[in-house]
Amino acid sequence: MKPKLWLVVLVMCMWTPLNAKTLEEWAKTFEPSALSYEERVKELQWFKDVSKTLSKKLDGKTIRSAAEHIKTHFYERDVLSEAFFDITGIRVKHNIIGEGPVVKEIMTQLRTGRVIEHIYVNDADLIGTHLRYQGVVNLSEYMKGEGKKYTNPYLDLDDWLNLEFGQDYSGNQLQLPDQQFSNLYWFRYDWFTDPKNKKDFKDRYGYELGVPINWAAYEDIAEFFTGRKQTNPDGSIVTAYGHLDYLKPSPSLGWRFTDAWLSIAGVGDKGLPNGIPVDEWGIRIENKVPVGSMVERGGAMNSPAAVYALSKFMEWLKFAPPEAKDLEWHTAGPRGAKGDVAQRIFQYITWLSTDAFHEAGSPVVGKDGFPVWRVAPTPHGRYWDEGMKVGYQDAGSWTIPKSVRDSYRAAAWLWAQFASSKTVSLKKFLVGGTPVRKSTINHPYIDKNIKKWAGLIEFYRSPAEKKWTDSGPNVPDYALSVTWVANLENALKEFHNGASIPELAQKTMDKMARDQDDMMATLKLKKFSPMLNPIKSKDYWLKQPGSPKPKRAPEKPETIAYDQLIKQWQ
Amino acid sequence: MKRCFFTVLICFLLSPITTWADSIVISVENREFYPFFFLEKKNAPRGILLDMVKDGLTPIGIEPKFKPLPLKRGLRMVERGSVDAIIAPRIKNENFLLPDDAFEKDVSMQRILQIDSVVVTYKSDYEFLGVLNTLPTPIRITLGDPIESLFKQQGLSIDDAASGSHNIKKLMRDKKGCVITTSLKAMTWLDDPKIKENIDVSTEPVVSRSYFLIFSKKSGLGQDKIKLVWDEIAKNRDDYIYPIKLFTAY
Repeated sequence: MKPKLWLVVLVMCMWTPLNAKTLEEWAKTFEPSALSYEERVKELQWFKDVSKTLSKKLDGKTIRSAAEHIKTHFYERDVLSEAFFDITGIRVKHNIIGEGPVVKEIMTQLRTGRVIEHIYVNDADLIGTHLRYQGVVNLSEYMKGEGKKYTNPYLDLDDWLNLEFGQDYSGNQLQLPDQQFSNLYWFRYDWFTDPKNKKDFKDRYGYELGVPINWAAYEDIAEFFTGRKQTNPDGSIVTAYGHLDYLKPSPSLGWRFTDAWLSIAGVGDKGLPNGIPVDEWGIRIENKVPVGSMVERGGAMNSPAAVYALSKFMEWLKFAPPEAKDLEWHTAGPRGAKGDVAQRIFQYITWLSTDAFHEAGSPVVGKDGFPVWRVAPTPHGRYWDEGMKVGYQDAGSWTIPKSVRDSYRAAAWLWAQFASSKTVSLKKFLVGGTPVRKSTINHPYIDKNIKKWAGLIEFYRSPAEKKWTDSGPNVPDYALSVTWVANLENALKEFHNGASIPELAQKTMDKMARDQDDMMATLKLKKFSPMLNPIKSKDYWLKQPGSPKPKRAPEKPETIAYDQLIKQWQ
Repeated sequence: MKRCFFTVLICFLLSPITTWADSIVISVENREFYPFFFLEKKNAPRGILLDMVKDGLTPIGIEPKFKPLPLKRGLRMVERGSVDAIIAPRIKNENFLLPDDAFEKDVSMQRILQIDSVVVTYKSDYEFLGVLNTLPTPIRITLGDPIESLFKQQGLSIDDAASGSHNIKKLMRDKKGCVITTSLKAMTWLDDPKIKENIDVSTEPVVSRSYFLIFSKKSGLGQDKIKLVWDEIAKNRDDYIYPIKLFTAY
């Protein structure tokens, strides 16, 4: 071999990372998949071909993306970004940061135009913000126009579970879901079906122990289990808690409420995915324009239903482990796996994929290797009526700010499509437990292993799933949530100092509603900007049909046997 | 009785309570750098950076008096102690006081704001990807922008005008060259129906700079108070609500 040829070989060896895999090797890695090996190769080949000119133009520049710290996104960072680079030559730095910083970064970028990241996995809860700021790329238009060349022919948008979460009022896709997470009722199936527990419960409360349909039953069950000795499959005997929650001052304390807690209590109106004219955050909307949160403006944030929602949150803390005061959403998420909690009304499924809920020897895993816990529909509050949303679910969604243009926009869009492609989606779900495609949850592999997910797959396959929705388009600016955090922190301080709950809850919701309206009044948004209604008496609005609703008498507790419930889902 | 009254009055006037009305003089560039600083009618300085500085000083009981000056002159005055401070990007000078991380990080924690300057070109296939000598010329900047030196080093042709509005008009008229402006200003052009269809704005910034409140070592404000001011500015900047109100005003 001539010396020059040696040099070429040497340079090529140095150029290729030692651990780089071929496209075919990556196609084999993504097994199981909704696609066959040949189909995967075809899809990956498309990514490779379309990126050739783009990666050359970008000349080694890195695409920056940001996402919150959950397993799904760690998998994207550690495996998928590597695969994407090997296949396309485009390097991605997938920054895993907290959800709070993700929201803060994207909002800064929208307000200043300064490019912090090229793409975000941003919760679709912000769809109301995005459609009003007009600061993110309209993906529907992009796919038809400038981005057509870079849109995966195998994308198959009909395969998405809840594409509508990322759409504006006209059905334009502003955000593409990447990982979906519902918030469900979680409970210890083994304890709930234990004959002694069943008998004792019926003797004490006069009805069957089962999955609570409403908050009255949830409260009875919480009281029943709190302080009761229970045995786990690993033989440990624990003093149980009937409830689990978190209240550490943090942005996640705000999400505990903004993630539909008021809707679950029944604060809003009928209508799916969100009630009209009143629903999320107690905001009334007229012709897509927010007109108020206070009852005095036709909103419901300080209505009897909202006061009830906050009161129950505080009342039930006596049934929760004492460390609840130090927990945030991500530390409370896996807490149930310790084996001393009987039920949880507000469990993000995101955390149910953690090893603690599945590994052999865990107090919540049976001798057969399967969970002894289950998930079921969220019980609803006293003010809930048929026809309203039942619970909360959202989708971390790919969102490209308009300040990201041309080659960077194309590369960011390719990365988003790759990370949610059919080739990789099933494998990603097995790691993170947050599905995004129908082909994932309906896959034969899932059928074979369905017991592992303890009711979650049945939920996603059921039409009922459509009743769990996100914050929707009516919240005009997600930044309004700060008023919640500040006021809830103060309320909890007073609560710990012994303040009387109903009065404290009314005072807090009154202030929160006023603060939220004050803040809405300052917003000047490009579309459907808030225009507040004039103040009228509370009485006037409470006498109108729908929300805000007048005070209701306590409801009768209701439960259903889990096995009967799961048949309804099937 | 009269003597007693005057004694009390003199004591009051000399007492530390007067510190609530302390004021410091801050130099700010007298060019248009919308919306961060610019001159309104009668040469009154205004802008986001000025608002943030004012809000950082108010809780400490200090009132800022902004003095619009060309950058070089402003820096000389800080050096001499003729003004207390200046709003500017990091500059090494033994007479200046800057936050500790100003020269360690590209994005300082105690900056006022991070400001990107982007490239606006007439609609074409050109895309700025970080290589300065590919920029279409003439490069239009606002008069007195220190970014000028960056292009001069590359031997690129520069055209300066009093404001960004003049520059964008020239770009629309000549259909060649480029305009260097802030990402926020570029956003306003992208919202303008007469302009938006005819321009491209780069994703990649030409420069990204932390802007600071740089104090003179000769300023009467002690180092402890200066640090308090920087902390207060950073706290506001990282707050959730504060930026909403701030940016809504422009």
